[in-house]
Amino acid sequence: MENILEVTGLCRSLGDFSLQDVSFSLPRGTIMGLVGENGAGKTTIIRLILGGLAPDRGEIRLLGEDPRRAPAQVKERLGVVTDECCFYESLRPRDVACILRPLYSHWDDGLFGKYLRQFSLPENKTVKEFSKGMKMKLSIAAALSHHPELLILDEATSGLDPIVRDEILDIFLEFIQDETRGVLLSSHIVSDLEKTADYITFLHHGQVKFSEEKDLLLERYGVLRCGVQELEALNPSDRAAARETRFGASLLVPDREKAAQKYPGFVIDRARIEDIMLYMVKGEKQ
Amino acid sequence: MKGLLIKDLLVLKRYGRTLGFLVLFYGVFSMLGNSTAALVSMITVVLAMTVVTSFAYDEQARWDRYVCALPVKREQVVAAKYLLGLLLVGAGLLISLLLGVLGTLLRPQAEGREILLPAMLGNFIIVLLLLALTLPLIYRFGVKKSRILFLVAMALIGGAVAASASILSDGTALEFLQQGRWNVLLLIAPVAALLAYALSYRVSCRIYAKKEL
Repeated sequence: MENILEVTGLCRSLGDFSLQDVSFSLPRGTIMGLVGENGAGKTTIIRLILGGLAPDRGEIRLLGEDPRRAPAQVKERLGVVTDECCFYESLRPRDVACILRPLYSHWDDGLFGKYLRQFSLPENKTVKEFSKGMKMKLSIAAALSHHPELLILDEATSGLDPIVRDEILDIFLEFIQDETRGVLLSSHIVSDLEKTADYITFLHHGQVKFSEEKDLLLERYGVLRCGVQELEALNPSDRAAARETRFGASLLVPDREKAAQKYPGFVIDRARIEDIMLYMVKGEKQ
Repeated sequence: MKGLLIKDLLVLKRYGRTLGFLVLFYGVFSMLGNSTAALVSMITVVLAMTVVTSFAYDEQARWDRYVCALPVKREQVVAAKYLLGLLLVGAGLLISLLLGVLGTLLRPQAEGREILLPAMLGNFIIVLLLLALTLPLIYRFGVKKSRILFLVAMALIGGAVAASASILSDGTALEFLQQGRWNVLLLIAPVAALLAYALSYRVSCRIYAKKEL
């Protein structure tokens, strides 16, 4: 399937921080979760994708175009929500429509109004009077109301309560029903991504640890539990990462079934996405 | 670009009340004090500098990041600000003209009404030059640092005005004026100021094109 977004070998340094050789691609009709701790480089990647920053090396194809050279019209097909609400405190939702209407040729007042009602956002209150969740909903309503093809969300669900988060995630799932669209969702809340994402790209210290189909990850990876002594006996190539606790050791195995055949006596559980990430990060430290 | 201009005007609306108060204050003040020229210059300068305020609001809302997502070119973002500057300068001149005329009607014997138009013209030029200096500085250094640089710019322009005044008081300039060349100067100066403003736009575009957002 054609990719709506492609990032290849992206490098960029910013002060102490650097993105190194970041690659991933987002096929149409899917949601990609970009996950990583604060400061892992998620926002930097999004700034690069939007053309705000120039890469040192590497290539980005945003809807088939280089974002630094593409005509401004490409952005008409893009909806973006940043981690902070960029609408000024004195504006009201109807002002937001006044600003965006002339900017987008496909701006849809009816749709915007529908989202405002769905999110229970009062049209005549100022952004200042909104709660954090309401501000985020306003940003999302604004990002969706010109019928974009690609939705890019930077930490759009963090800082929101679970009910609002769930409501918002459902909107993304509804958005993706149209198979020509795509969503890039950055977050440090793994459970949100586990719920919605089709692909997961895990970023750690500016590097991609893995970028894979979520179901494949869940199907393949496992957590094997054993005693500390037994850990030594296992073949190092079978373990992606290990953790020792007071009660024994546990390790992440990249192929659950293979590990089960090889080490029949051990308990091997399914790994959650969070497990995979934690083991990989902790394993690296050891 | 229209959307960007609408954004600035909507955001500045909340600043409108403060501006209205300032205009009223200066209006009353100048009518009491017979100083039409001061009225014109204050109102125009205050309105023109509202552009700087709009940059401060932009920074506060981290608007630059959002602009990257919008279907506008960077030069359009700059153009919208320069257009806003012209609009505000125009509004400032219009308001001071109205107040000046009102003042003349209320106090026909007051001094200084014959200098209302030259004062407006002078202010148009000075304010345009001020903006032409300030806007690229803001794009390069941000609002906070530019405030200090702005004061320096003010001093420089003040110095230039004083210097040209002293040149004008010397013989050749006087002769030039006596020969009735005023009209030429009246025509050239505003056009030159507009050209400087246009040049400043190009410089700002270049700075903004390289800026990391």
